[in-house]
Amino acid sequence: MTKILEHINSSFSGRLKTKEKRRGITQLYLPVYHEDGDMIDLFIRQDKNGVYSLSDYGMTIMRLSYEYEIDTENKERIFNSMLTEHGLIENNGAIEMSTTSETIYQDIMHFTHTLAKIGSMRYFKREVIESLFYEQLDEYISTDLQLYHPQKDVTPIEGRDEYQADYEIRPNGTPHYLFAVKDASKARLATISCLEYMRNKLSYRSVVVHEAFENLPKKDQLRLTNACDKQFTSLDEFKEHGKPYFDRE
Amino acid sequence: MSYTEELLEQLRTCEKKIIRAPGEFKEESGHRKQDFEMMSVNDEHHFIGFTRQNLHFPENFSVGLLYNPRSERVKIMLLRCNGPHGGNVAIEHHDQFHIHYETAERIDTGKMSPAHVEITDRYASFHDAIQFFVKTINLIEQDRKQYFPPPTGQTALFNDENT
Repeated sequence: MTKILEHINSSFSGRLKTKEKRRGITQLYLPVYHEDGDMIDLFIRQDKNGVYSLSDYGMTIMRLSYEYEIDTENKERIFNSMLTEHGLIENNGAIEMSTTSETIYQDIMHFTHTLAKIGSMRYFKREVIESLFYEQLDEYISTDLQLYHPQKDVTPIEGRDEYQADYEIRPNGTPHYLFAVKDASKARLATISCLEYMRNKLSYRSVVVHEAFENLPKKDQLRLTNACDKQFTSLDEFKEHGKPYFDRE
Repeated sequence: MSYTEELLEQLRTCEKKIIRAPGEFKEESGHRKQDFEMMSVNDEHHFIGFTRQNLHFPENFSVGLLYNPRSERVKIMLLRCNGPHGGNVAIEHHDQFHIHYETAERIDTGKMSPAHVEITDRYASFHDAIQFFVKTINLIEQDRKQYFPPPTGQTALFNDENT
């Protein structure tokens, strides 16, 4: 352990401090910080086989979990792809990578960069996760519900494209207009569209697939529940029960 | 919504009641955790509370309060009581118990992370921090007793005027 710590000190020209956290585990105090000013949590140990490992001992996922959970297949996929792309592994919450005296400088820089990237996953909510929501919903509809000949971006009221539905699915003679809802503004649009279909006395059924029903403001939940015929509270729920629902229809 | 320091302090300290109980600690991904929800007693504001403790290093913990303005997508981390997990850019000496606060200035500039940090000696363990936290955020006494009873023998630890 002494050897690699000397390498670390010389590599960082003394700008990195070290402290033994536990026997055989040394914490590295590198001036790389999270947005709230806390230092990236970084540790090094030598395993029984002599191999050195960098580890965050679960601190990155714990920190992320204050506001964000890796609790869906999409999020897990993104998390795992970040680990794989950067050559890191997860071990019961701890993010780790092997290192050597020769590569320690590059490995520390690489490791902390990836931890910071994972720590910023909470910002992926809008840019990545939501687009994946639409993407995965589309994939499911175009494959598992293909027998019902789904059509995308339909206009149930002729000439009124402001009341467009995301999909039309026909499990029987009646068109089912499906809305993918990821936030309050989309929930309101779906509510208004359903009310307008009713006002125009269309013969239809409305189906809403939520990204996360529980995250909608309560009033939006109530308005949409009153206006539509059927809701699925999440994409996973729709994937599990969507086809049986249309089969029954 | 426009935030001021006064509003943030008011949100931090307004009397709160539990609307979703914390339940037992759950262990996952190398830490143990509790999540719970609160409303201000006037039913105007919604909050999320959490406790986290690293399983490898129990001194690495965080107990936090998020404000959830339902009309907005962003939650605001009003307060986070941390253990001595490591360094901080604002603290010269490493490894001290510290508290993160959100500031109106940072929210105004779109920086949604509580970077104002103060070293504290008001708690010295995870369980102390929870007691300090529930008192600081003004959780009603009935809920404090029911959901966060102090460890045996510490009943009077935080019953001072400076808390």
